[in-house]
Amino acid sequence: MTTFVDVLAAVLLIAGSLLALVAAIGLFRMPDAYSRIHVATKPATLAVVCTVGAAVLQVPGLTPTTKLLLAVILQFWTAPVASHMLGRAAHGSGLRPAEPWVLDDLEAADALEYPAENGRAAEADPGDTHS
Amino acid sequence: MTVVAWTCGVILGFAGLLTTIHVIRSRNLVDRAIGVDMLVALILNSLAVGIAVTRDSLVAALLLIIGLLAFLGSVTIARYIERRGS
Repeated sequence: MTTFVDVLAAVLLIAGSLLALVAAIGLFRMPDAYSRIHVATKPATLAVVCTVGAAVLQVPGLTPTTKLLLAVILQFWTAPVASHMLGRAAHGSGLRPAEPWVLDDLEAADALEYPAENGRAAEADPGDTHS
Repeated sequence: MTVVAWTCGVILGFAGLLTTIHVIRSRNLVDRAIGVDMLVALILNSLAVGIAVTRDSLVAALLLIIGLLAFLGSVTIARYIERRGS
């Protein structure tokens, strides 16, 4: 029984590390900032779930388990908010996606809210960084 | 378990190296913020790997603290970029 738990923990650890590596490679492969935000959220949630799950399997006791699970829950709460704010910042600083977007509700909302700054996003540079 | 620890350490270290190269090479502020956010996620992963390998939950509270600090930092950077417009 103990060996089974050990093997499961080892598999989870390797899987989490590989997810982090795939996300790091994805930072180079993805064409624009929005796709990179999507990539960077993977190690913050999925890989953390894998490695913290392995830690929960390995560490005995109720208090460490509670702390680790609380860390995972907080990560799941805060990571989407941070990604959303980064996406809004990318939109506000004028970054454009690699393919033109189908629908841009944020632009319409900005035009409603600040009618004077209407051409602000049009003068900014195109989005690609690794040219 | 030692083999697993070394494997995870090498993989996570390589991922951190790639992310650092991305942070250095990127040309706008949003990409740097994304890279730094991902570096913090890699640190969280490394801490969890360390807890699982050593079976010592001394640094379990650090996972909470670093996660919340990363959230605060990302949101603050995003707010400043949004206001400054670059």
